[in-house]
Amino acid sequence: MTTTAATDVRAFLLEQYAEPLARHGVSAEQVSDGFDLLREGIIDSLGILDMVAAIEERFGMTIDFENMDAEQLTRVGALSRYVEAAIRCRT
Amino acid sequence: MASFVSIPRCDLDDSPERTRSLRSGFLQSCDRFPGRPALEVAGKAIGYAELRDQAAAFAGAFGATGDDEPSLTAVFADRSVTAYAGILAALFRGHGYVPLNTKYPPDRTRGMLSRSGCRCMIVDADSEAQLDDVLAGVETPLTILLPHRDDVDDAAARWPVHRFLGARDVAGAPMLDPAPVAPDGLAYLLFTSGSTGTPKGVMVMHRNVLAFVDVMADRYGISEQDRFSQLPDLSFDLSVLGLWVAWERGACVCCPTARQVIKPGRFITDSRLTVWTSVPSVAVFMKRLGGLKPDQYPALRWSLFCGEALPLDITQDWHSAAPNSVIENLYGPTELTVACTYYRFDAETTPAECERGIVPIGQAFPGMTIQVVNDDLRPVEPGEVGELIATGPQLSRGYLNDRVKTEAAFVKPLFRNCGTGVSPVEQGSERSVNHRIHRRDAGATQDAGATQDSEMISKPSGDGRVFYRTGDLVRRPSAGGPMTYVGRKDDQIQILGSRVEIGEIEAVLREQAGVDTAVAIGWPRTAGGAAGIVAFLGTDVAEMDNLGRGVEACLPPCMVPREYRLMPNIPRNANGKVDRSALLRILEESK
Repeated sequence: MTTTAATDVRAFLLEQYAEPLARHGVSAEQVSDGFDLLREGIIDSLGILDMVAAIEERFGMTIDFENMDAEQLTRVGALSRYVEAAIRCRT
Repeated sequence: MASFVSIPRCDLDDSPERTRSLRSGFLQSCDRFPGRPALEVAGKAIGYAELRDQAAAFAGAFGATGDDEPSLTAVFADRSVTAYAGILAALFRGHGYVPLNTKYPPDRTRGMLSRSGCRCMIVDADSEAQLDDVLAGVETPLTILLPHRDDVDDAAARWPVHRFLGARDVAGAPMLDPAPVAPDGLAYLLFTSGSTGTPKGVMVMHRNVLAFVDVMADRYGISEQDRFSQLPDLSFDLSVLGLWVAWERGACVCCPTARQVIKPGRFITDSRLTVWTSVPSVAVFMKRLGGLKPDQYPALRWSLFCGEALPLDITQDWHSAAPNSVIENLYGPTELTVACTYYRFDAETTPAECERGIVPIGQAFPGMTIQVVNDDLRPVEPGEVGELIATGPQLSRGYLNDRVKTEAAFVKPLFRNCGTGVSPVEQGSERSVNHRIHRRDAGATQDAGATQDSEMISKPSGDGRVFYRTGDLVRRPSAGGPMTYVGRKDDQIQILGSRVEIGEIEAVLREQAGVDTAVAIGWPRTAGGAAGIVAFLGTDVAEMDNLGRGVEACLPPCMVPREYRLMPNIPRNANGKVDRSALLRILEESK
């Protein structure tokens, strides 16, 4: 059984948003756990749905984000851990 | 059911409130429920009397209204107490309000500000970050209130042409007694997308919005116990519903922060909402993130969707998530004051009444008259598709300083054999229509400041009244069924509740990319329109970074393409016109 670690999710997000991150002059190392993709302008509120779709496609499952609060949903660390936990529950 | 309120009394006298205007319901609620919450922003409540006093102090800080001043005040603020107190302050001054939006590019905001002719503006703390960009190049002297600032000297030093007011001016101001308002005066001016690249300012009069508010408040039995959602930005006219219907009856307006908007379900629960209003896209968004589960929102009484086509499957999911709420689908363009038809969802009967999985738009509001017509403005037969045209007390005054566009959209079909006026669509089948169209009288688009002299609309001339052509295709009901929405007649498209002129986007693309041919396609498609825009440019080279920035500087976010495709040979049909369906197929194939 393989599990997806939060680091994999983080790596996927960095790859997915490499272009806007670069445009904002943010390197991968500068993306802390608390980095907020929405607040930093990497995605907009509509982009949340695209992000969710991309995560689900990459990790091959649908994820229920209802238990995540608004402050956490777009933070790289919290999101990565949530997705990791969701995948672990499923496998 | 609502008893429709007729035109308000016009006898302006010393008592401003003898003439009912948009603020009247709010002021009555202040008298009846001074301590009850009028507004909750980010979970913090502010009572009716307190909000009234704050607005009166804002109004007082500006001092007396100049005689030569156009009767509009701009409010550059959103999701803050200042935004709502600012709107009220505009109305207390006897002005209409012009909501400006920080999500729009500063150039666009500056254009709206200058076209509206506003001399006064109220700005909140968050919007102030954009103020310098908006003011660049504004030569008309403005009076700008920054109520969050103790000290406005630096702003005044940077912009010597303008006068700045701050918190001290508000604190020291005499509270302004509400100035008189005429029923035909403007309550608000909202801008909608225009095909030639210039947004159109829709002039909505007090009596328009009062008619709308009365229908809504009566129909939904609103009381001071209700708590309304206020999701849309103030620049979107759906905000009028949550705001003024609530205040008319002493209810509380709950405004989520930009952050809370991401989790609408949590907002419903935390704010203990009883009345929900939103575009259907919000429900789609909630479902996608797992926020529409059975019995999740038992406290909701009413769920009102408006602004775009309402998909049946989402409605059914909402019905299961909010089992105690009645769901209604409202339809209407800004020009007819928020909404002018309604349809009540019924889990048993609605599925059979839907067309292509879209919930019907139902029937006209009491007092409003609707016809479904062909290109000659003759009614189509029951069961046929035609353009929806409407008239009645919610018919707005037209587009500010744009006679050409007003005359094109506000038309006077001469209905014959109509001794009692045009009957509502359900009974209107045998009416014949003279296809001569009388354009709206000259003078319809005078400056907003000249609102007292309006004889502009709805006065029966012969047996004809002015109708607004919505450009929306609907199916005329047959056998007592509801009216259904079919699509758009022109190149407008609904993107997440906003009516967008494809032509406006394409004009910007051509200019910014320096190409002759640029095509904007709504993509991905949704039940009622599209979730975004994909641009095709007729070139094989483009400086994409500059192009993206240039376009973003001209268009509001929902109109900015999410993807650009370079295509030197854009497909054309036999007439040489761009073949949009071929481009759509390309997008479908590359999905």
